[in-house]
Amino acid sequence: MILQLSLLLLGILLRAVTYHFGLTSVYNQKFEYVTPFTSFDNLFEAVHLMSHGTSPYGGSHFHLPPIYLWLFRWVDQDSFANWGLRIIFILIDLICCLLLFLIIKQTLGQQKNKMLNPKFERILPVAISSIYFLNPFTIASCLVFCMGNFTRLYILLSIYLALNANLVLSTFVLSLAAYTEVTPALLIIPIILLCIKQRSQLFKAKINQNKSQVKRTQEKQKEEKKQQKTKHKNSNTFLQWFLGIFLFLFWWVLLLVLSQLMFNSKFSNFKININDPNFFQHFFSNNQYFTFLKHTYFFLLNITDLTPNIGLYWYLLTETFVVFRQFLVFTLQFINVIGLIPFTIRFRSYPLFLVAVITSSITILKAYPTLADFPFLFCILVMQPKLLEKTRYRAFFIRGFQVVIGLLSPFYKIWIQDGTGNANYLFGISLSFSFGEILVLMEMIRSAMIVITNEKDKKKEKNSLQYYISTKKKKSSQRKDK
Amino acid sequence: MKHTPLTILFFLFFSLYFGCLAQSQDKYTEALTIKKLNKNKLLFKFDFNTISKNPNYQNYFLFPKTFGNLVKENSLEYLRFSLTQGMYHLKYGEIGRYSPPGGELIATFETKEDLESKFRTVSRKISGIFGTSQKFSDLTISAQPFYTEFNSLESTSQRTHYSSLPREPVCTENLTPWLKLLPCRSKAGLASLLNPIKLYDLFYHSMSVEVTRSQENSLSFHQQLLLVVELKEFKFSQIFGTPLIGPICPFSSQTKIQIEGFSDYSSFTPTPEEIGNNQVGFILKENLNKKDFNLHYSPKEKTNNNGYNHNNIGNDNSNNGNDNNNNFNNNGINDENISKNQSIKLNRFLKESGKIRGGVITQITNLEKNDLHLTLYDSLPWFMRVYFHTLTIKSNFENKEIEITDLNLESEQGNESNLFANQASLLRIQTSQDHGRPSIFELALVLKPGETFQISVDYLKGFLNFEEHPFDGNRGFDIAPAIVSMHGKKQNLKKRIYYTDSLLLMLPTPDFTMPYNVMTITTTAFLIWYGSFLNNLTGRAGLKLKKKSKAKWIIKPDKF
Repeated sequence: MILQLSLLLLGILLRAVTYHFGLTSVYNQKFEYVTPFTSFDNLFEAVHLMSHGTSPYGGSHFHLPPIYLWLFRWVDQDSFANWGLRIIFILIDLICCLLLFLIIKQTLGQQKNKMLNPKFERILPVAISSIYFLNPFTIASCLVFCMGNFTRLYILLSIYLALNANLVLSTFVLSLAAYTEVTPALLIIPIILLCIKQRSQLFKAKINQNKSQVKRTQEKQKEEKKQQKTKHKNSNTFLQWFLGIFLFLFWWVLLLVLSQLMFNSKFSNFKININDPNFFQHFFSNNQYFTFLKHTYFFLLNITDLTPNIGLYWYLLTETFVVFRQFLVFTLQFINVIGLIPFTIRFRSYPLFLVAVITSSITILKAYPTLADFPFLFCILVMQPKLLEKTRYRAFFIRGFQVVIGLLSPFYKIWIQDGTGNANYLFGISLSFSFGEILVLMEMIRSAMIVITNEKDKKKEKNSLQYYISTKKKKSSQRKDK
Repeated sequence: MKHTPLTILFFLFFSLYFGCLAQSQDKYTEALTIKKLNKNKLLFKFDFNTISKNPNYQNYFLFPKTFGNLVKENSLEYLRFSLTQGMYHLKYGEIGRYSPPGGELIATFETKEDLESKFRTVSRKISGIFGTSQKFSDLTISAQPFYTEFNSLESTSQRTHYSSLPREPVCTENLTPWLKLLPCRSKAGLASLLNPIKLYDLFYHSMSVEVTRSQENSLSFHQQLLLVVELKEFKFSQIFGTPLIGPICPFSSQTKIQIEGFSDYSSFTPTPEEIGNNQVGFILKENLNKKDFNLHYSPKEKTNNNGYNHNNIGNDNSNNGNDNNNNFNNNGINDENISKNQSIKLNRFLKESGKIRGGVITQITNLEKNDLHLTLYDSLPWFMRVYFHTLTIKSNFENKEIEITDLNLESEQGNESNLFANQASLLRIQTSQDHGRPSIFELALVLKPGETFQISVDYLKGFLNFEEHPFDGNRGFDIAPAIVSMHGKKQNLKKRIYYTDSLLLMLPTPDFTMPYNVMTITTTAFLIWYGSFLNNLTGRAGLKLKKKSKAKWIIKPDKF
């Protein structure tokens, strides 16, 4: 407990010190942490434009949905020195860290076959959550008030809530994530799967408790119970699926309509006057329904801004011919979505791993990733530590990422600042970074496949041995009969 | 109906009558003004004016038919088109209306509706007539200045569309159609001096066409050619290649050469005379054809003969940008870069570190002895993503920052007394759109005598697709100058328009040579992602590590 608290304090202290010494202005120029989507400068510009009665989405600076504008409508030019805002962003990181700790602890508790060393197991949740909390990338993204931190918080929170089988809240939080960044909407299926699995486990645990209390003697009663249980389960899962998807869409649409109402009623004041008799007339007579979608979701999906980042798309779309642009963007985004279907089918009984894989694939194939996504990706993938044992080339990956991350900043500098190198330097290094992430994810999937096949084979072996024995017995009995 | 001889006669009579009427109502004048400017510069200003009263848009005599049709079809009230080579600085002296480098097109229409589509048709026709590029209609550079008044018409604010192409090249191909609009072409009159080979070697060269339809239903067509030469003495045959050989244009009701700003008129041969209105010069008569008119000027006290200075177009720009940066805190009036009657001084430059962020700084100095009321129109292309929250105005008086009051005057127009109530007020903001309209801001400023305002705004550069870069991508992008217009409170201060320097913006360039490599390599990364992903899901990766199971013969090969 003391260790955990001291680590948390260390993280907070690190952030406070870096804030105090004004490292924000240094990191605010770094392309690894500041993308067009996550930049705080752009948020302030939007607030400023709004105060002048102009659309906050003009000038293609700001790309977050309107609720964030409403949340941060009070920021001003000196906000980087504002401790209130700093504390908000420290709190976000802190909550993320705690959630990671809780999630890993819970999953470790649930895993039946404990292959891990108990000592290692005890220290693992603290280690991973402190890796997230204390690493320089997360601290830097906290320094520059990276708006991507919100999405990370939502995803972790919704995983945590799903682990506790709270369908309503987890879908709500997930819809917040989807509202912010669209692509997390793909997580809805694994989250519902996780909810269903957790609920059934809780159900089982309860029954087991009941079992221990009341002893059942008659076998018939047992069988009846079993039948009832399966029936109940089937109807329940269907209900859960329906409820989950419906709730998710409901929350999402609610948020969109809310922001549309906010956005429509003049940019300068965010009051929704429902008492106004012409309220609905105003709402429907305005032809510009959901114009902010063009600047938020369409911007994210169409990748209109080609500012360099550590992702895969920016240079590809800079160097493609304009004629093929739409085709290429559509194909890549389409395959990103379609590609997750075989995953979901294969790992449907391992929803937590499914969540991890889909989250990391979303993060890797983001249009505007930041370096803060990298520790997040690591922590998400390490949520099931037994997969780590099966991965290959660990040393290679560690060295590779050290080199690549170290080179990102210099290669950006020699192109943009000094003008001594050209764009290919940055392209090469960002490509290898994304490629490394892809390879890590592939390794994790491979090791997951090994674990799963091992488990399944064991089961089958058991079954087949029983079958073998029973058939032999039958045969021998038949022979005896003869 | 049969055409009786009587009706034919009748028609003949009437057509003759209207023909004569048209002839009598078109008035054409030619004028050449020679003016001495600062820094050994000489201005040659050619004005060709055609005024047509009560035009019926069917019979054209001197007024060019193409422009008559253009005005009629697009319900134009005002049109100005100019093509310029070189940059004119106010330190050479004020020469009235001048043009920024490249092309400029201004059009005022009768109504506000469909401004953009109308402007597009007009710009296409104009570029058809003068053989320029059609980029005037490009929405990324064209916009509406609300508070800059380009003409003397009333309340033109929301009916005017403006477009400026700082990179438009100018050559003889543009001059030939311009000369063809003149009644005598370049065969006779002052236009016969305009030899394209010589003209484009000069320091500054700007040709313009201006059509105004006034409320008294008269059309005026004004063709102007501004030439700035860097010379101490000159001869017509030296500058233009030929002396003025007669005859003068027979349609011209007045052809005059006017001389301004010289201290010694006696050093001209032939010596100029008084031509009325306190003007000195020559009124050319038709009997010119007997002897060539070769105006010669050689000042008596010769220092050293600079002669004819080739290749100095734009040389002056480089000096100017540097030496103006540092004199913000000095009192601008004592600057040697200022002419005598200059009322305003303008500087504009970029501040950049790296290729992503930067700022545009515009400096305006009041050199008059009374307060100046100015509006500034600044339009920056979309790839300079302006941060409007960084818009600041600094004054050199006590080096303080001036508060900008925000006036959203778009609803209430034309209240000019309101505009200049504060020292600096923001009149309008237009935010840019990606690959679309530019970002615009308009300011109203009140400058005390001797005061310098430094207006700065920061921007973030947008990145372009490699096809959107021009062919010489590493040269940079020209940014059109800001427009400062003077709103005179008193009658003696006319509404005047000044242009700041145009800027050259460097954008980070991608590698133009190998798009295919990038495409193939990146898509390979994607392919590996999908490929190994599907491979992992379908193949049985785990079986290799596992020991052989005893009951393998019972398990079916693959049930996944």
